[in-house]
Amino acid sequence: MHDVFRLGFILMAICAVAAAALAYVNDITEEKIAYQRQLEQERALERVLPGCEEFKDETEKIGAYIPEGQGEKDFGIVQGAYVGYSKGRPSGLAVRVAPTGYGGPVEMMVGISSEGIVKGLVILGQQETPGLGAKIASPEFGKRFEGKRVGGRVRVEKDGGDVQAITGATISSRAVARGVDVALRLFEAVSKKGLSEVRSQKEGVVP
Amino acid sequence: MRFMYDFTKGIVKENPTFRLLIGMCPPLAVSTAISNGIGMGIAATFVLVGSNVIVSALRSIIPPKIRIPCFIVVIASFVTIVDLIMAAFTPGLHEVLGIFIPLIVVNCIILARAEAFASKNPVANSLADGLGMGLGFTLALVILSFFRELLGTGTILAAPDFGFEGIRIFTRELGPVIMLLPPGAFITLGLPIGLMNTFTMRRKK
Repeated sequence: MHDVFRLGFILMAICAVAAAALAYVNDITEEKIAYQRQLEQERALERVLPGCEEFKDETEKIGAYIPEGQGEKDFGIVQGAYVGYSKGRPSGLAVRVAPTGYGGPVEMMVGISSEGIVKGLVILGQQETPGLGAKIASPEFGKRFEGKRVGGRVRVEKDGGDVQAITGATISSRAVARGVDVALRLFEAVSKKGLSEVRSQKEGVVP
Repeated sequence: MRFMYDFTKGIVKENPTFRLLIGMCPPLAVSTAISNGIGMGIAATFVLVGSNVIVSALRSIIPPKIRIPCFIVVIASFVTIVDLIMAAFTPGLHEVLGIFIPLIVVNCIILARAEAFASKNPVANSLADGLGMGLGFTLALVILSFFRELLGTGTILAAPDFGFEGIRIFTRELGPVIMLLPPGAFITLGLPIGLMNTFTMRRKK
């Protein structure tokens, strides 16, 4: 009986030291990690909407634009929306989506120009199979979605669309296609209602 | 002399993947590209050296009855610290290795070396052992992923995360996809193990 307390105490002491070390490391890295995430987000925005030099986070307002009725739950994967400004005028919408892939959510940013054309696509985070599904992060795959327009549905070839999936990684490819599709539909909903609230702070054309 | 032996034994004689057959999940799962193999190898070596040194330094404090939970706490803490520090200071590397880091906690090589070696040997020897085992593990991963990448996709050393296309030997359509899928991993793993066993048996005779 005495042994149980002694061993328990030693284990607790080791855990306490480990917890203290972790707390200390977390403390010194927390700010830097948050800063790196922010930086990564900004870099992604600049890549998906080339030509925009300013971005405004309009994620909170975007909820009002999501169309009611069927397909509403599809928009559950939308994580954020950012209006890009070029020379002070809104000229595009970047949508952060997280469709479910083979190994978990695929976090990605889709940039759509004010004409409703996909300008760029960046994968921010994914846990797909290395060597197979993980290839969705390659720029070569992202290019397959550039030029897709509002109005049409984005699908991989297996689902009746025209996007070529990665060999052996249909589920991962399908997830990316779904992300682009939802981003385009969100853009459609936003541009239909007019972006009056979203552009409240700035004068300019509807993205 | 003994120090050198502790270092070199992990590379060929007690290679964790081909000889000890421990920690088999990463060699099977991530050996689809050489860049993955190197990344996983470096990350695992780092944790292996760190956990070996700490476990060895604490070996007189840790009571034998509760050594396994103690080792696990040390290993998990070390992996988390590596993960956080990499995320904060080397975000590029973290992005590439990020998915492998949590896998390291459950890699049995780390626990096996803590249990079989570091808890019984001085710090310097444990460091040599961790380094050698890590190198052996990395070497095994590189050998496996070399053949899988070459046969499966027709390239050598393609690393899209670094913008490096690799050396293309033949077009990707010619490569059998099975090499990239789990069966390819088992086939590629089985052949070197069989070869090494054959050589060892010959030598014994």
